[in-house]
Amino acid sequence: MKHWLFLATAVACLWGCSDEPAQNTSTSSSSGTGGSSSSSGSSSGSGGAGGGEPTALVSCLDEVDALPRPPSGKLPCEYIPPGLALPQ
Amino acid sequence: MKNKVLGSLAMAGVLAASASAQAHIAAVAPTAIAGKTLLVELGVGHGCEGADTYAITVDIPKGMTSVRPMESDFGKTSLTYDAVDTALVTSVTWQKDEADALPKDTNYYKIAFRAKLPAAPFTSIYYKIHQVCRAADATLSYAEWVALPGEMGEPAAAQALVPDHLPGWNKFTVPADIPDLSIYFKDALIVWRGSDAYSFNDATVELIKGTQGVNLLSADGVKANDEIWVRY
Repeated sequence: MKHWLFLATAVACLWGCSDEPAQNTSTSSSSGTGGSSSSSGSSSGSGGAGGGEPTALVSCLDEVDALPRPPSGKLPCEYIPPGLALPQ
Repeated sequence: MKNKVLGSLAMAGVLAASASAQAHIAAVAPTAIAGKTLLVELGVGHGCEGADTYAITVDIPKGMTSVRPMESDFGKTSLTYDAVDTALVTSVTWQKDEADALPKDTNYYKIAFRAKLPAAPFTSIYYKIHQVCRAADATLSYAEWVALPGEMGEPAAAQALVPDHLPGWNKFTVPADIPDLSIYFKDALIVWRGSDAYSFNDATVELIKGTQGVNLLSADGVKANDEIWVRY
């Protein structure tokens, strides 16, 4: 009986242990595509802007790894109002 | 030589004008939120010809309600009320005790009251102010800060009423022509009407000029019923 309990506990523990990393992997891979977020971010962004290569300067997208930079002669995307797309 | 003298005189005039402009009795905050109850602070830059400021009376602009003045360096306040609406404050006076008057005009003063501002964004309100000064020999002198734009005399303190807004993007429909965007949007990062943009910041103006598809919006370029985006 005791052996049976021990076995059940061990199986449950293994199930839990093997499940956790699996979940982690799935979340990290799904947010990993977001993690390689420039590609995922820009693809969803270009989808919003009309699909394909980004052809317009639009208001900012949520890019986790994008660091703020000083503007280089043009208005930064933070300064473009919602709904306005400008030719690049 | 004559030109040099004239130039110097003109420069002296400009400097004198700007010095007196800085010394006016003025609202500490150049803008206020329309329709909100908030603290109005007025700064008294100087007394009269070397005499210390002894008393200040502020006429409360029409449309401003719920006035509750704060005590200040002048001590307690006294109020006058509208003859018809006896709860409506029409003026507030701050006056020192004689013993508190300074022998010379050395101090800057701030007076304040809390009030509900008119719900009229993109307009300006003017506080007409009556200043009394007291010299060391107890002589009183007076200055009237009551001139509205276009009128002669010392200017009344002005405050531009802006619509309630939050940091980030704000969308407004303009109720009337805006003659000068800098009055209402000096503290905004950028103002858009369609693909035309305005900023008070010269560096941002350069970016607007350098961005393809964007036109510079002139300071008087917003008309009634225009829809604008403003980022604060």
